[in-house]
Amino acid sequence: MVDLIARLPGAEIDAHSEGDCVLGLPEPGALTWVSAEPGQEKPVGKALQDALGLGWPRPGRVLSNAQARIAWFGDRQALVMGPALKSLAGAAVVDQSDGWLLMRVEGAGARDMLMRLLPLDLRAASFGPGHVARSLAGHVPVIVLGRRGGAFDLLAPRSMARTTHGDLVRAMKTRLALRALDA
Amino acid sequence: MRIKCPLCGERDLREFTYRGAALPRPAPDAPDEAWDAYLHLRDNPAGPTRDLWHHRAGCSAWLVVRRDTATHEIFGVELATRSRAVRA
Amino acid sequence: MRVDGRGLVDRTRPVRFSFDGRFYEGYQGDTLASALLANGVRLFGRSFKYHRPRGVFTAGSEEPNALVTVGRGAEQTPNIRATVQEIFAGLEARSQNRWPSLKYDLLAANDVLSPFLSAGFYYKTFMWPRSFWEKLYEPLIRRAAGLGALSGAPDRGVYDTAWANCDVLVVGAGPAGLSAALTAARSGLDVLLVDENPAPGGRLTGEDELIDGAPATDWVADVAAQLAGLKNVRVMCRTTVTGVFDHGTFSALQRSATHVPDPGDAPLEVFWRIVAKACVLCTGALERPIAFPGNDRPGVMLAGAVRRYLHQYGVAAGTRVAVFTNSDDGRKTADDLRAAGVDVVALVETRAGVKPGPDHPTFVGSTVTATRGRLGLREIRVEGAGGSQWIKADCLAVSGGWNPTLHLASHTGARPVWNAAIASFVPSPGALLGFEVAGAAAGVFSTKGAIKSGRYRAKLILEGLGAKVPRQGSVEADDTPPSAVAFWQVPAKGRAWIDLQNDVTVKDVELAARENYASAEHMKRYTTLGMAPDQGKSSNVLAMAVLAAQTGRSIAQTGTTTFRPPYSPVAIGAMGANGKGRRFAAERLTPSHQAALDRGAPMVEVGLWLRPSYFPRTGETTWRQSCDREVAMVRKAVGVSDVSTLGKIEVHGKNAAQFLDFVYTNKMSSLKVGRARYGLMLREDGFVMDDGTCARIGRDRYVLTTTTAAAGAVMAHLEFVQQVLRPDWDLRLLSATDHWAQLAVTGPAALETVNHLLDQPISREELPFMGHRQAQIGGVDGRIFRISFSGELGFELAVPARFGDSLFRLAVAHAETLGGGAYGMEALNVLRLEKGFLTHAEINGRVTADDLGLGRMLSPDKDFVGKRMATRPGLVAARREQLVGLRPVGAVKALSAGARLFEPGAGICHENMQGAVTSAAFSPTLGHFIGLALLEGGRNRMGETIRVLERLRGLDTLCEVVSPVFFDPDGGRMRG
Repeated sequence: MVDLIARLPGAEIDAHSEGDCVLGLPEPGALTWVSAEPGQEKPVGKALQDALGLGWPRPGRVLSNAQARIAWFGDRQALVMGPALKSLAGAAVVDQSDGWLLMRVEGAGARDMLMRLLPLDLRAASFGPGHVARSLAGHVPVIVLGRRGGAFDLLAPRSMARTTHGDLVRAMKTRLALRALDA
Repeated sequence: MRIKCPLCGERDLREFTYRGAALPRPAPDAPDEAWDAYLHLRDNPAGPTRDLWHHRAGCSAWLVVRRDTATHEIFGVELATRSRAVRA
Repeated sequence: MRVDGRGLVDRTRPVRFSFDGRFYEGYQGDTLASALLANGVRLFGRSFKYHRPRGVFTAGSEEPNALVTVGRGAEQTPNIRATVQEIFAGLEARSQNRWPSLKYDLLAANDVLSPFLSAGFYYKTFMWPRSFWEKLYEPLIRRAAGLGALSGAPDRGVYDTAWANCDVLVVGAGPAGLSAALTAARSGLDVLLVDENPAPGGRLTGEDELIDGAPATDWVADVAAQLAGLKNVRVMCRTTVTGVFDHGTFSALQRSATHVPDPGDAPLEVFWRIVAKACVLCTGALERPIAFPGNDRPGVMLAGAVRRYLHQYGVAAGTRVAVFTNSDDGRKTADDLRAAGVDVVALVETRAGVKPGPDHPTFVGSTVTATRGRLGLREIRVEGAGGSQWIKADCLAVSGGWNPTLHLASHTGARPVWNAAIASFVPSPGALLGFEVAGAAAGVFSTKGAIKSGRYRAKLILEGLGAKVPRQGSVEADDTPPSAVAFWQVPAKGRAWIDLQNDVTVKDVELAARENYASAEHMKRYTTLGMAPDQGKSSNVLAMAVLAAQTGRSIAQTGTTTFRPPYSPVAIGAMGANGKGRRFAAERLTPSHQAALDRGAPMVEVGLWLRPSYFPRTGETTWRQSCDREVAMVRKAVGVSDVSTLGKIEVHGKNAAQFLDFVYTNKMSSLKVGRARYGLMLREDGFVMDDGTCARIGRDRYVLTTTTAAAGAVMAHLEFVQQVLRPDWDLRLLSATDHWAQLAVTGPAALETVNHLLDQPISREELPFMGHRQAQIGGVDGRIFRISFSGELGFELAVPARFGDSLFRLAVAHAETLGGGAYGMEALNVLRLEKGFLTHAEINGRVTADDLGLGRMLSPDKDFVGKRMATRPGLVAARREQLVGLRPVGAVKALSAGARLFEPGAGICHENMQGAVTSAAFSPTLGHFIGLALLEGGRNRMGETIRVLERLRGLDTLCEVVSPVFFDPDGGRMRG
C-alpha cells in the first residue's frame, strides 16, 4: 500500500503579522456542504441539532458552539465546519474539507484592513460574530465569517488561496505604511 | 450600482452578472416567432425594465430585478425561483 | 515674495526643490505654486494651442495653467497641478509644452498664426489631400498642441484601491463641511469627512476672518480636534471625491504619498470606492474670471487665489497688485493686501454706483481693456467714464463672482438650476435621494451662512436616517450677503480668454454660435471648451454667459454642459491598481503545482490556472523534444498528468436525472450507477456550449466534469436552469472542483501504475471503459474513473486535494520505472489532436453539434436546452463549416491554428475563404504535422486538397482533407 502524505492547501503560504494585524492559518477541521431538499430546512435543522447541537442558519448567519460552526452558504445550503458529517436525512452531504483554505485575521487592525480589501460593509455594527457573507476579495470568491473581538475567518478556494493570501498581506502592509505616513 | 439581494442584502455590482431580459421560456413546440422573440428580440426601453442578474460572486441566486434604465432606480429584486416573470 | 507675519506654512522648516533644473527653497506646507511665487517665478508653462506664456491662475485643484511634470524617467507624472502638488525635499518639477525652453518656445509662432487657428480650424483647414491627414496633419497638430508627455516607460509607481463604508459622507471640510460632519458625528452615526486639501478648513484657511471673535483658523482647529476625538468619525485629507455613482457609491482619489520624498511601502495614490447611506456635499465654490483682452498673461490671477497665497502661504502674488472686480468680495482682496503691506496700485470696479475704496486708487464704473508684458504682466489699461490710462502692475487679481461647485451634485444626471441672486447655477434642490448640498456649493457664500447651512443640511440627513439630532449653540461670523452684479466680459477689441487650458477665447465661442453650434454641448465640442484636465472649472459659467449673449437667450435657457466623473484627473494606474501585472486576475494552482515545479516544468496559463507545459529531461533543449518524448511515452508506456483543473459539479436531488436529460443533448437518466457518459451541452440558441463527462454516483447523485475553460460558465448555466427554468424540481448543485485532486494515468501500461497505487488492484474487466467506482488509495477514500483523453487505456484517480501532491509524485515515480512519466499541456494537446478530441479551440461558440460530427448526440426523445434552435435551417445547412482533419501534402510543413482555408487556385479574398484551422501540432506518432479545421461542407470533401494560408507566420501550404481521427480510429486501444 502506498503512503499518501497530506499537503495542506496552505503548505506554501505562511502566517503573517504586520503591526496590529495578524494573519493566521488555523486548522478548520472538516468542511461539509449540506443542502436540504426543498422545504426540508426544518427537519434537516432538527437533525443537525441532534447531531451537533446547532440548527439550520438563517441567511447571512453562522451558528456556533464549542465543537462546530454552521454557516449559511446559499439558498437551502450550509457549510458545517468542525466535525465531519457523513450523511443527514433530507439533505445532500458532500465533504468539502479540501476545497477551501481557512485564513484568520485578528488584532485591532483586522477589521480596518479587511474593509479596504472587500466590497462589504464590515463595520462592527453591520458585521460581527454570527455573520457570514460570500463575496470577493480582489478577484477571488471568498466566504467571510465574523468572530469575537473584531477577528474574521476567511475561506478562500484552495486553488486560489495563494492569491488571496498575497492580497491580504499586501493590504496589511499598505495599511500600515499609510498609517506611518499619517503619523 | 448596488443590488439588494433578497438573501444577502445590498451588495456592490461586481458581485453580480447581468444576463438580460427576464422572460418565460417558450414551450418546445411554440412557433418560431416565439423562440425568436425569447432569444433575440429586445425592447431596449428607456424606462422601467425587468431583467435577470446572477449573484455569482455571492450566494449564487438568480434574481429578477425591476429597475429604470433612465433613472437607474431599482424598484424591486426577487429570487428567480419565486418570480412569475420567468414563468410561462 | 514672502510677506512677514502671514501664512500658515512652517517657516522653521525650509524645503529645497527644483523647477526646470533650478533649485529653490520653500517651506513645509507650500505648494509648488506658492513656493515658486514666493521666489518670484511667474512663468509656469505654455498654453495648449497658441503656446502663450502662462502663470499660475488659481490656488486650488481647478488650476488651468500651471501644469508641470513631476519626477523623472519612468517615475515622471505629467500634468500635475502646481497648485495641488505639495513640495518636499528633492521634488523635481519641469514645465511642459515648450521647446527648446520655457522662455524661448519656437511653437509660440502659433500665437502669431492665431487668426487662422480659431475654433474648428482643423475641421476646415486640413481637408485636402485626404491622405495627408493621418501622416502629416494629425501628427503635426498633436505635436504642436498638447500638455505633458508620458515617459514611455512602464510606470513603476505603486497604487492601490480600497473600499470604505459609512453612514454619512461629507465631501469638503470647509465651514459647511466641518459643521455638517460635526453635527452628523454627534448623532453617533459613522461619518466620513473627505477633503482634497492637506488639511481641513477649506476657504477659511485662505481668508483672514473671525469666528466667535477669534481667528477662523482657531475654529477650524477646534472642530477638527473635536472630530478627531470621536471614534465614529474618519477624516481623509488629500482625498478628492471624483465621482458620484448610483445607489450611494462614490469614487475618491487619495494622494497618499505624492507629498513625501520616500513613500516606503505606501502607495502613491489610493483609489477609493466609498459606499454611504447619505451624503452632504460641501464642495464650496469656484471663483470665475472676467473675459477681457489679454487676460491670460502670467500675473493675471483670480482674486480669491491672491488672498489665499497671502493668508495660507504668506506670499504676495506681486509687488504692484491691481484688482479688477464686480463685487465687495473682490474688493476684499485689495483691503487684505494693503493690510499686509502690499502695494495696491488700482482697484478697478465694474460697478458705477459704489464708493471708492478709502485706501486704494479706485476706478469705479471701469474695466481693464488691455494688458502688456511678454513673459509676465507689466501693465494694464483701465478704461472708464473718465478716459483710459495704462497702469504699471505685475499682478492683476480678477473676480467675476463665485460659481457653486456642483459637479458631484450633477454626476448622476440632475440638472443644475439658475439662481439669479448669485448669478450662477446651483444644484437642483432635492434632485438626489439621500443627498443634501450645503454652504457655498448651494450658493450660501458667507461664513456664518455656510456653518448654519452645514448644520441644517446634516440635520435633514439625520432625520432621514432616523438618527437623533444634536443641539448646537449659535455662532458668530461674517454674514455679508453676496454683492456681485453679474459682469461677464469687457466689450473691447482683442483676444479675451475664457478657457485658459484649452485656449478658447470669446471669439471662438461667438464663432461657434454664428456657425450654429449654439447649444451648450455643440459649442463645447466645436471649441473644445472645458474639455481639458480642468474640465472648464473656472470657465464653464462664463462661457455659457458669452454664448447666451451671442444667441440672445438667457443663461438659464442656455444651461450647462453635462458634468461627468471624474471631478479631477485620476491616474489610470490608481483606478486599475487591482488589475495591474499579477493582480490582473487570480492565479489558480493545481494540487501538484509544487511537484511539477520540482521537476523543472515551465508553467503555462490556461484560463486562470497555471499548468505544466512539459517536463524537461536532461539533454532536451527545446520544448518539442520534451513534448515528442512525452507523447511517445503515453503511446508506448504510461503517462501521468494532473487534470484537477477540469470543472467538477455535483448534482443531487430527486430530479437530478431529469435535469441532466434537460441540460445535456443526450440521455443521462438511462445511465447506470457506476457508469459515466460523454455529454454535450448546448446554449439555448442551439450552439454548443461545452462537453464533458457525466458520472452517476448514486440514484439521485451525479458528478459532471466540464472543460477547464468553461467550468464557471457551465455552473452559472446549470444554476440558471435550476432556478429560472426548473424551480420546482428537487435539485442541489455544488461546484466541487477545488476539493479534488484528479490525475490522468494513461498508456498501455496504465493499469500497472494504477494498481501500484490502489489498495485493492482492479482488472480491465472489473472496470470497463466509462466505468467508475469508489477506490482506496493509501487508505484514503477516492474515486477511479476509466476515461481517456489520450486514446490510450486511461484512468483518472481522484483524491482529496491535500493528497494530490503526494499521489502525483508516487504515480510519476512508478510510471518512470515502466519507461513513462509525467506529461504536460503540450503533449496532452498532441495526444487529443491525434484522436480528434475537442477543446474550446473547436467549441468556439459558433459551432453546432452537427458541425463537430456529433449530430447523433441530439436525442429526438426529449426536450433539452437548445434543441428547438438547433434545428433552425441556418444551423443544419449543408454548406456549414464542419470538423475535418488536415494532413500536409508532400514535404512536412508547419501548420498553425488560425490559418485560413482556400480552394487551390482560388483568389485570396474573404469571399473565397472556406474555413480555418482550429488546432495544429506535430504528431510524433505519425511523423508529420496534423491539424483540426472547420471547413465548409468538410465531411463530404475527404481526400480533397486545400490551401492553408497564414500570412503572419508565412504559412502557405497544401493539405489533404482527412478524418479528424488520425490515430486508432476504432478506439480499440482505449476501450479494450
